Amino acid sequence: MTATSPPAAFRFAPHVGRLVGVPLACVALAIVLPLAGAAGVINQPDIDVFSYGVLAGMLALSLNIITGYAGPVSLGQVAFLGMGAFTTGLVATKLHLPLTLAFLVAVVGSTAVGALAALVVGLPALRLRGIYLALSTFAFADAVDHYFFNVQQLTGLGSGITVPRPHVLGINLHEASRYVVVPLIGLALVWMFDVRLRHGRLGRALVAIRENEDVAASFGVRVAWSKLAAFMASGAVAGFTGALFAYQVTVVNHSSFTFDQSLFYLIIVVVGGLGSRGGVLVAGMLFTALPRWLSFLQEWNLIVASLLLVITLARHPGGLPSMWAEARDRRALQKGQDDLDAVLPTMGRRRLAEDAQAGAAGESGRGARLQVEGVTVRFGGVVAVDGAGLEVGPGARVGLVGPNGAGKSTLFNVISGLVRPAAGRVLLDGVDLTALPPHERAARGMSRTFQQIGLVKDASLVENLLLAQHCGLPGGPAALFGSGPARRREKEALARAHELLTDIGLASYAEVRAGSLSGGQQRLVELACAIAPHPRLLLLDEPSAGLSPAAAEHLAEQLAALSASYSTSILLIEHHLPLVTAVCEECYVLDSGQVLAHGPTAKVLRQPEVAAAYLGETSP
Amino acid sequence: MGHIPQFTVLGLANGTIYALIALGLSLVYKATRAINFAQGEVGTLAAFIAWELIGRHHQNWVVGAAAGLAAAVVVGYVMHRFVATPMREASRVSLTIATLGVAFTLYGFEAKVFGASPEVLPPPSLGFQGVSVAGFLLTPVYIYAIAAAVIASATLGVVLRRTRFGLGVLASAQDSDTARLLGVPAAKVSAFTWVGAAVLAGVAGLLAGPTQGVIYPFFMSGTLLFRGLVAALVGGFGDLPGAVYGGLIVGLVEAYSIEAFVHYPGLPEVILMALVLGVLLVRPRGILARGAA
Repeated sequence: MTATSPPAAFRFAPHVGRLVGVPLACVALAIVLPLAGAAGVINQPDIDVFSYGVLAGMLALSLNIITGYAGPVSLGQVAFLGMGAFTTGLVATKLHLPLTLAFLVAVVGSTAVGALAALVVGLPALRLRGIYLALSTFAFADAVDHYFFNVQQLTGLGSGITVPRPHVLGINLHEASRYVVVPLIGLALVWMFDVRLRHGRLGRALVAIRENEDVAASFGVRVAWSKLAAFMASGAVAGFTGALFAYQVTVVNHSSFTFDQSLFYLIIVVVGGLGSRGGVLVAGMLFTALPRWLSFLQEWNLIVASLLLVITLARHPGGLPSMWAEARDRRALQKGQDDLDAVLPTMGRRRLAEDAQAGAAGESGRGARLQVEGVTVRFGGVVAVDGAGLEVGPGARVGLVGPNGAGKSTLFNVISGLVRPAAGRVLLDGVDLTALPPHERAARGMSRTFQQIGLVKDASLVENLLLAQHCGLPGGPAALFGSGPARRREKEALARAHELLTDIGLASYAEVRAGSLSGGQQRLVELACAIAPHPRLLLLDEPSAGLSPAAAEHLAEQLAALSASYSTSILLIEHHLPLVTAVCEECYVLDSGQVLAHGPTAKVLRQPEVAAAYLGETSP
Repeated sequence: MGHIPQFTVLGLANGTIYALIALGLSLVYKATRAINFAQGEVGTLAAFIAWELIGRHHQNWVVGAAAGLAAAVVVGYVMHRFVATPMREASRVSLTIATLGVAFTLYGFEAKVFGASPEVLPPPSLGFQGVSVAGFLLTPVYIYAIAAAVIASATLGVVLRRTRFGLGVLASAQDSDTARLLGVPAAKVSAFTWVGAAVLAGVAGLLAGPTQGVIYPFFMSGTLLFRGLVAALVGGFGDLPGAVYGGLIVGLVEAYSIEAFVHYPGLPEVILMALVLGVLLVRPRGILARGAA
C-alpha cells in the first residue's frame, strides 16, 4: 500500500488552526486598538467604523450558518439583529440593574430572543424546502419591519431607544477605542462557536442536508430538526450581535433594521462565498466599513456588490472559495497516488478482522433479519412495486436482480424509508419499521449505498466517513461545546475514518472533497461509509457500477469476506451477475414490481423465465 | 364596519396591481422554478424613467410610459441573456439569489441617478375624475390598472394556449430538455419569459407609482413585491390565472385588515405573514388548487 496515514497529531486536531487564528488576531487588536486610540495614533471615528465592520462580519457569519451550511435562504437576518438590539435597549433602559449585570443580562437576553425568533421562523422548515422556506423568512422580515418595530413602547419609533455605552467591571467603555474591545471579543467567540458547529456532528449534517436530504437521512441525520437547530444557532448569533450593535450605535432606531438590509446581507454572504467562514467575514467587514471610510464608495457600494454577485453566480456559482477548493483538490490529486486494482484486494481485510472481534463482543455484531412483506408502491398511475416480499436472514447475503425498471431501487427506498409504500410492511428483527423515517432506520443498524453514489460531494472524504458514523456520535449542546466524552467519541470516529480510508487506499486524499474523485474512487468511499457505522444490514445498490471488471471481481471477494467475518446481513442489487453469484447464496428476481423467482443463486439464474425477463420475451 | 363596500372596491383595485406583479413572478417561476426578486425593482426603474420625462421634462404621459416600458424590456432582455442563460444549469436557489443581485444593481443605479428623495409620478388621465363605485372613487389610474390586468392575462392566455410558440413555452416549463429535443427554441422561450415578466413589472410600476403617492428607489421591492409574492403563492406559484385571483384576494385581505385594525399600522403585514405561513403549510400549491399537495 503506497498511501500512509497522516501523523497522529494532525489526525486528531485538524481544526486547531481554524479555531484559533482569527480569535488570536481579535485579541491582539483588542490590546492594540485601545492603546493606539488613547495615544491618538488612530482617530476615534475610524475605530468606530472598524467596530461596525466587525459587527457586520458577525452578522454575515450568522447568516452563513443557515444559508451557507444548511442551505435554506434566510431573507430576514437583520430582523433577528433588530430583535436582539431592541431587547438590549429594553434591558438597558427599563430594568435599572447594576451596570455590569445589565450588560450581561442584555447580551444573554438578546441572544435568547434571537434564537427564539429564529425558532419560530424556522418551524415551517419542518415541512418546507428551498424556495418556499425563503418566502416564509421574507414574510417574517416584512412583518417584523412593519409591525413589531413600529410599536412605540418597544422601539421608541422615530426617536429610538438610547442605550448608553456599558460600564463593565468598573471600566467605562464610552470611547470608541475602548468599546471596540467588545465587538472584537464577540467576534472571537462567534468565530470559535462557528468552527465548532461546522466541524462537529451538526455542521457535517447540515452540509449533507444542503446537498442531498435523502443521503443525509440515510446516514441517520434528523433532517428537519437539524435545520431547526441551524436556524436557532443562526438566530442566537444574530441576536448576540444585535446586543453589541445596540451599545455600538447607542441610539437603537428601527431604521437600522429595514428588511432590504437583510437582502443586502444575503448578497454579501454569497459574494463572500456561501459556507466559507473567512470569505463571508471579510465580505461583511469590507462592504460595511469601506464605504464609511471612503465616502465616494458609498453610492457605488450597492452596485458593486450586486454586480459582483450576479457575475460570480453567472460565471462560477460557488464563488471564489469554491474555485480555491477546486484548485487545492487538483493539487492533492496530482500529488497523491492510488492504484485501485492493487489496493482493493487488501481492502478491509485487517479492519474486518478487528471489526469481527469488536462485533463478537457487542450485540451489534450480529446481522439483522430483514423481512419485506407484500410491498406495493404507486407513482401516480404507475405501479412500481406490486406486492413484492423478500427475506434476508441474519448474516445472509441475498441478491436482488432484475431488468431495468423492475422496481429494485424503489424497493430499496421502501426498505431504507425514503419511499412510503401504499401497502406492505418492512420488519427488522421482527420489529415493524414501516412508519419510521430513514434516520431512525439508520440508527437501528441499516446502512445503504445509492445507485447515483450517496456521498456528500462538497464535503471531504473524512467528513463523509464521520457523517456515516453520525448515529454513533453524541449530539446536542454537549457535543457542540466539546464535553470530554463527546470529544473522545469524536476522536475515535476520526481514527476509524482514517483507518477505513487507508484500507481503501485513499488516505492521502482525506481532505479532498468527495466530488473531485473519479466515479470508481467515489464508489469505494461510499462503500467505506456504508461499513463505517458497523451496520447490521447492508443495502448495496449496484456497487460495481463504475468499477473496472478487475475491481468488481475483488469487490465480490471483499463483500463475501465482510459478511463471513462480520456476519452483517447483505442485500445486494447488481447487474454484474458474476458478482451476485460470488457473493450471494440466495437470490430474488424482480420483474415489473413482482418477485418472479427466488432460491439458491446459481439455480435461480439458470431458470428460463429469468433469462426471458432479462433478455426480453420472445414473441410466440 | 360601515365601509365594507368601499374597502371591497379599494381592495380589488389595489389587488389588480398585485395581480400584475404576481403574473410576472408566476411567469418566471413557471419557466425556471426560481423567484424573480427583481420583479419589483424593474417596475421602480420604469416608474423613474417615466417620471424623468413626465415630471421633469413635462412630456406627454404616453411618451413617458413608453420610455419606462422600453427600459423594462432592456432589463428583461439583459436578465435573459446575461443571467438566466449562463445559469441554465444552476440551482433555482442560485438563480433566485442572482435576481436579488439584479434588484440591488437597479436599486443602486436609481439611487445614484435619480437620488433617494421621493418624487411624484403623475397619474395617467382619462379626461374625467373617475367612476364612483359603492362609495369609492375609482380614479383613472385604477381603471388603467384593471384594464392592464385584464389585457395582460388575456394576452398571456391567448399566446400561451393558442399559438405554437406559446405551447412551446408551456412544454419547456414542463420539461425543458425534452422540449428542446422536440425543436422548441429554448433561447426564444427564455427571452419571452424574462422580457414578458419585465413588461408586466413595468406596467405595474407605472400604475403603482401614482397609487402609492410617491416613488423612491426600492419602492416596489418592499411592500409591493411582498404583496405580489403572497398573491402568487395564494394562487399557486406558476399558475397564471391563480396569480390574478391571488392578487385580488391579497388586495381584499389587506383592505379589510386595514379597515378592522385602523389603529394598528403594520398589522396587515402580520396578517399577510400568517396567510403566507398558512398557505405554505396547508396548501402549498395555492388555495384554489384541486387537492392538497
